[in-house]
Amino acid sequence: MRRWVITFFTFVSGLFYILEFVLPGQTGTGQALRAAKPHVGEAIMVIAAFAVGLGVIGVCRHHLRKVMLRQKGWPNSVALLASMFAMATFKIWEKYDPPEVAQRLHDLLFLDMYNQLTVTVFSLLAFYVASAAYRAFRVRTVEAGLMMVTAIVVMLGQIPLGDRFAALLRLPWTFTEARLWIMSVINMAGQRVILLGAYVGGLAFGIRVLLGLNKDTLLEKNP
Amino acid sequence: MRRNQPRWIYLAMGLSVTVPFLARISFQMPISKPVQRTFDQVETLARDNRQRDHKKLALLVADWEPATMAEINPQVIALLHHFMSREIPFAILGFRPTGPSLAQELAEEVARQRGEEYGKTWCNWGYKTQMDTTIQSMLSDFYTVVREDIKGTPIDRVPVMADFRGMEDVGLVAEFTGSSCLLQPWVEFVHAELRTPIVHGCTGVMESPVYPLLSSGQIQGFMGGLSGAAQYEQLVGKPGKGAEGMAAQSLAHLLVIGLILAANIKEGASFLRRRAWRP
Amino acid sequence: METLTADPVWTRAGLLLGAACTLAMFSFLWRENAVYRFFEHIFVGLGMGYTVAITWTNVLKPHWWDKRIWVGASEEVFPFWGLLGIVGLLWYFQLSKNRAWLSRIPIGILMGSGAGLIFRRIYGLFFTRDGQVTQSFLPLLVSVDPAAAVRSWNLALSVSAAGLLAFYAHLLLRRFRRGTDLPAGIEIRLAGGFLLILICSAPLIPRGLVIAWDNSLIVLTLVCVLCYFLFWQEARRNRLATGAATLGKWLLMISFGATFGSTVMARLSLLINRAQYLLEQCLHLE
Repeated sequence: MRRWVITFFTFVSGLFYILEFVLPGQTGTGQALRAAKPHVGEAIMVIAAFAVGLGVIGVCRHHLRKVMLRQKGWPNSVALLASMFAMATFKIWEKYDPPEVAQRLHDLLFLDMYNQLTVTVFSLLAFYVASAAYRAFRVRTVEAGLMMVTAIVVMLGQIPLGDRFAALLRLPWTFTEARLWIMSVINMAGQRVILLGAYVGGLAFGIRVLLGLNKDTLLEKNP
Repeated sequence: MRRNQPRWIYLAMGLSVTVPFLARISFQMPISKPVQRTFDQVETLARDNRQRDHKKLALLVADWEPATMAEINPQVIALLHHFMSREIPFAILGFRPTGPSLAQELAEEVARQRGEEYGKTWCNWGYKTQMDTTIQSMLSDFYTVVREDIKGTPIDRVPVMADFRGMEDVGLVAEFTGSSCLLQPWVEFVHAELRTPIVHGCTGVMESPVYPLLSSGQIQGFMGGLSGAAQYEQLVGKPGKGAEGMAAQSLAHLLVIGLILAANIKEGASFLRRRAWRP
Repeated sequence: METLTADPVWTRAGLLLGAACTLAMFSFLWRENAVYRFFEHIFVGLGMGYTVAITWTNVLKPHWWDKRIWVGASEEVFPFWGLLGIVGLLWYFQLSKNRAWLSRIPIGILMGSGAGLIFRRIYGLFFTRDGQVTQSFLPLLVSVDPAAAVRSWNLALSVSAAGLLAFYAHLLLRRFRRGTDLPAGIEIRLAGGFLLILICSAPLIPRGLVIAWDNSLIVLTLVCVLCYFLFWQEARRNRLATGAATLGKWLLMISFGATFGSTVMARLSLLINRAQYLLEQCLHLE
């Protein structure tokens, strides 16, 4: 019974968009579906937005427990919860003409803290790229060799100094031209096949989801 | 020594990025075809708008987050300078929570420099979820999806939206993202149905998968990473963070190439030594 | 909400806070420490708070809460939009032990709508006039003026001869190293192969046709990479499939090398942004 209810909702929401695509606009049904499309899309957008609270509940449960039981690292949990409520408060308040202090605090939290923290966390990857280039990128096979040579040509092609190197080595082409050629010919064809494979896989998965054949995620029994 | 080896590499990386700023080195960038085509597409929109009664909007799709703003922000700033210098009205929309806010900050900064005003030059449609169904809904009935702007003003009261009827009045979609799969819906729905030109701005990581779309003509141009930003800044005549960063990029790239070659030369030498000692 | 004018006190406080956040995260490069963990928790909290707030102000409030009692064009009242909240609240049954299956209804609606749209997406991306599949049918022979055709023919013959000679040299080297005999009649076969290339390409010259090398390479890459993905099992039994799959694998490695090169630029850009922020904005070393 449960399985049929879930499959019904899944199938109907997919069938709407399939019929809207395949039925001509001149038919009565086609016109009705096209008229309903914006409202259906808006409803789906709202349903998806409701999920945002799940993450908040999970995080709050975990960190509130840590704080109340004074487990190891509980001050960090206090900081997390405080920053979450502060950011949410100031962001929502922004819409209701807040005083200048509140706007300034919002800018402090978003522009001076959140943005800087995010960029810095991801900038650590630059150091790891350099470390991995020395420790892990070893040419032991033909494939690794091809990959290394191409990577070096592409890297030289994307910096201004690369063309000066090509001039020094008296090459008949510049690294910029070589890079563009590699990206637009060989890389383009390889990526096209990867794109095709991904969408064919997506199509097969989509058909299985619509027909309720996908037993492993949506339709399994409760653990 | 072995345990501290990565720290020496980190130090070398830090110096390679810092020294060019202190030494104030700068380079001219050769302009690549995809960036030139992006510039030409914006010029085409400006030229067509001059011949129309009411101007078509450019749509700046802000799908990036603070993690990728190091590469995307310089691209967007250069593009905004181009839009404002050619009097192209534009709108901002995003399917990532931080995108519209980041784009709004950049637009206000450029507008302050050029004496432009929110509402007259641009409008911010805000953040939406569920990209596929939302774009489909916008194609059918725009005003069901976008009711008010980011400041809470009803959308039909924003001056720049006065003559806007729907997505057919969008003359160019400029999609900026650091994630995969956010460009395709615009190509699959908007370009396929309305033949709206699309240009793209992406991080270096996402550059490779964009080439099939450029080659087939589904997108008209794109800017890739900081290098693309530096080239576009050169084209619009407004050097900024893109151009500043290319000297540091050059030195850091040479460091990475040097490390790869050094590691492989070391590996090759120890391989030959092992073979020489074999009885 | 009005745009704020710059205030030196707040600006300085913001830069100080931003620099502290940056240096705290960079301290991880030395080793994981309490300061890094503290700021990491703040980062997570700020991100979550922002997402929740923006989802309410940009999506839920204008598209659901303000419409929950909806007055239509002819003043009729639709209270049903508010009932959408019930469907949305089904998500939270995930927290229940016995009724968790109800949370799969909104999941199913989202997955179903995505699955329904895949047909339109595939048509729009692959089969329109400028679709990916349509644009893969590229001309392999293009017409140019006869002088250019002769130059191109000479180049093609030279490259073919060089390739055949290199293959013969490889066989000779293999005989020298391992003592493996050359295949019988290899010289006659190689000479015959060269004559065949000469005879097949000669009729193209009067028409001024040359091979479009880039298009040919694109089509070859497409076919070989498809062979690698689709026929990897047959590749073990069939020499043609083995050759095509191996070539496809090598061409794919070139593609991944190009992606790696671009990725390096992306990662370095983030670090360069931090250097710009610390040196130019915080320390004013412009």
